Amino acid sequence: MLDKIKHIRKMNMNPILKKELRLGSRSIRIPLAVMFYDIVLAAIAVINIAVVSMGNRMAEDINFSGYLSVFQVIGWTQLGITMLIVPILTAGSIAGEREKQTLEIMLTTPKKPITIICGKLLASLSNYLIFVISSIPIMAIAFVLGGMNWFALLGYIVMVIVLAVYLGSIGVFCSSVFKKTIISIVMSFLLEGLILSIPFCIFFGVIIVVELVAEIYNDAMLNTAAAWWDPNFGILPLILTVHPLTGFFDYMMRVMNLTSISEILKSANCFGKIMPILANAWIPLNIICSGGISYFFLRMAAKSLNPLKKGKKKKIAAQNRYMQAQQKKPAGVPPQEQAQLYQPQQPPANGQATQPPVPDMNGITERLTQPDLPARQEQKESQ
Amino acid sequence: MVTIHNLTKSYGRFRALNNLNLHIDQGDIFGFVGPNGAGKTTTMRIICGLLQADWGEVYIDGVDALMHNDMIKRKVGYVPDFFGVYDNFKVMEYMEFYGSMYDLNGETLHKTILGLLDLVNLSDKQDAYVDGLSRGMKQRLCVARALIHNPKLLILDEPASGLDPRARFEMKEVLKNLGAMGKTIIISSHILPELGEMCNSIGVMEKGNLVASGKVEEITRRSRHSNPLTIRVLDNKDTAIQILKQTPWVEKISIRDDSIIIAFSGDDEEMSQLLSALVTGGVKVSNFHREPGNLETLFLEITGGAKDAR
Ligand SMILES: Nc1ncnc2c1ncn2[C@@H]1O[C@H](COP(=O)(O)OP(=O)(O)OP(=O)(O)O)[C@@H](O)[C@H]1O
Ligand SMILES: [Mg+2]
Repeated sequence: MLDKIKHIRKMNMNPILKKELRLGSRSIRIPLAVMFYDIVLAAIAVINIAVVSMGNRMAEDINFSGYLSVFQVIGWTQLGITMLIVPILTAGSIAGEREKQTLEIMLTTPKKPITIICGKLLASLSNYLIFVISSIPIMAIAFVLGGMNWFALLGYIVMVIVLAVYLGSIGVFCSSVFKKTIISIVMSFLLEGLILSIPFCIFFGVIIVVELVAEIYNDAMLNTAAAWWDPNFGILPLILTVHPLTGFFDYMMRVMNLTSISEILKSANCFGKIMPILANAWIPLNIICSGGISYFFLRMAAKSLNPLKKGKKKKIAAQNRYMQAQQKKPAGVPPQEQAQLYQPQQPPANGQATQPPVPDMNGITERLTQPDLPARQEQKESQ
Repeated sequence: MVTIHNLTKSYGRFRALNNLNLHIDQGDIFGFVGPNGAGKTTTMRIICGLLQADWGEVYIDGVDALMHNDMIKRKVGYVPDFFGVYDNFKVMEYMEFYGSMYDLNGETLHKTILGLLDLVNLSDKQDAYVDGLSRGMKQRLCVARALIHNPKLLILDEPASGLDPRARFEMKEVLKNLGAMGKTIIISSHILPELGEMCNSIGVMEKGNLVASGKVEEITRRSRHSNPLTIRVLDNKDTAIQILKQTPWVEKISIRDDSIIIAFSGDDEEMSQLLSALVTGGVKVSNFHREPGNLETLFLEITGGAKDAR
């Protein structure tokens, strides 16, 4: 029974993921990087604990929730590192395969481009996951010392993985669009920065514009409304729902018992009763949005890998039908192209002009027995 | 097995394939020759579904390859003109990976791989790293890889390029075995005489068009007729030339030492007539022969000029 399950699971595993895991297990690069990463995180944690303990000693009173800041510091550090390493891990995935010239061969197999893309993304994320999992013990210091629960940690990991999938999709997308690994890495950082900053730009842009307008008209009501935390403005943070970082911020703020963005949303007095519900479901909503955007990027990546486009197929079919209709004309090439096409092949005046250059399958074409066709002459002249 | 009709492909404004027509029978070993840039690789990539054609039709085993490219992937094995190998993989793992790309696994896959490695003479290299294989071995490994799903059609892009004579011989043996197994094979190459040994039909491509194609014997016989005729005479050279000048099929006469070399357009029948005319005319003919058909010269002839040939 167990054997059977194992067998089925083996069968269903993405072959590219399997291959990557196999190859990855041979390389020393990832373990080294993880070790370095954990040393850095541990150092940050130790410094943080030392600072908090010093504060406690001076206050002559133990404040356990102070140790929560260990979680916070590690959490934010990890976020930053995620934004840094995920593009590097993913941006080389398809481009590297292309550089090794193995992508072409993969594309001749029946596996669909989306399978290749997903296999590559999962392989990169599994490497990333090693980083995250290895950091759990360091983050767990926060609850050994108090002020944290397991649930919060689990939530944190979910949030950071959602973000990694999001960034990874952008990386894989760049990797399949841009041919060189280096260019792909640079472009995925650029795209990452752009996409992460656009919602914020809109958000603060609107606020600045409203503020300016209020200034000009000296409108007291608008002026107060311009403060982004103002309940009347509650609709605006909704723009940020599509932004994976805000979900992360919101989560961290909740864990730290700070006023989160969703709290502000809740008190907004627009949309009536829907708003509080939206606000409560903000983090799941955010996850769904991130998932949707990731899916979009993965689809686009698969599309750019596929050498045969659907629309183009229809065009070919239409063209072929057209050519069949034109069969009587020389080889049925669209009229505007005929002249350009057949000039070199037309024999001067031996009555062959109407024959398309279709080779005679049982023998040899005219070219052999009549060696002095214009095409050859041209070539000789050009030498 | 493969029928190509009016296939056209442009790269920007440059037309790489120009209404190409081609037919390959089931079980044929088809040699695809042509100078650099003739469009051989382009054609092969379109057949494999790696490249989009502008228009035209490609039928493989009765399936429209341009419209249903997912259906032909299990019918076609492709060996490109580069290796495409993973350095950190062992031969066995490399094969297993491609097997899993075709949803093959377990014991059946293992057996298939062993059979294929045996076929390409790499049985003893199962546990060697792909990285450490020689060029010829890598090339053969790629052939084995392309056969993992037992395709009906095998497409090889310049399988002999960069190989030394021995490796080339081994590759040839592998291809011969495959031919004996009844596979349809398309091989592209610049080295025409070698293709002549391996293939039973060839197509000569130039500037995106097939300029000649047919069975190998047919083509060599044809090409023979364009080769010069050498006649060695012991004396009476002037009489001989006189007779030759009267013969309608003789086009050009040149004299080198005691040999007369003529361009002769007649067939074998007319050749024997010429010989008897010479003999009855009192010429002592000591040697009368035509250079045997040679694919190399044929290739140069068709593609017009030695410069393009290599
Ligand atoms: N990706 C591309 N972009 C632009 N032009 C291309 C591209 N690939 C091929 N070509 C052009 O198309 C023509 C045919 O190329 P192809 O590779 O099919 O020739 P080939 O017969 O395989 O030549 P070779 O014997 O050198 O391999 C060449 O003139 C080449 O310059
Ligand atoms: Mg080529």
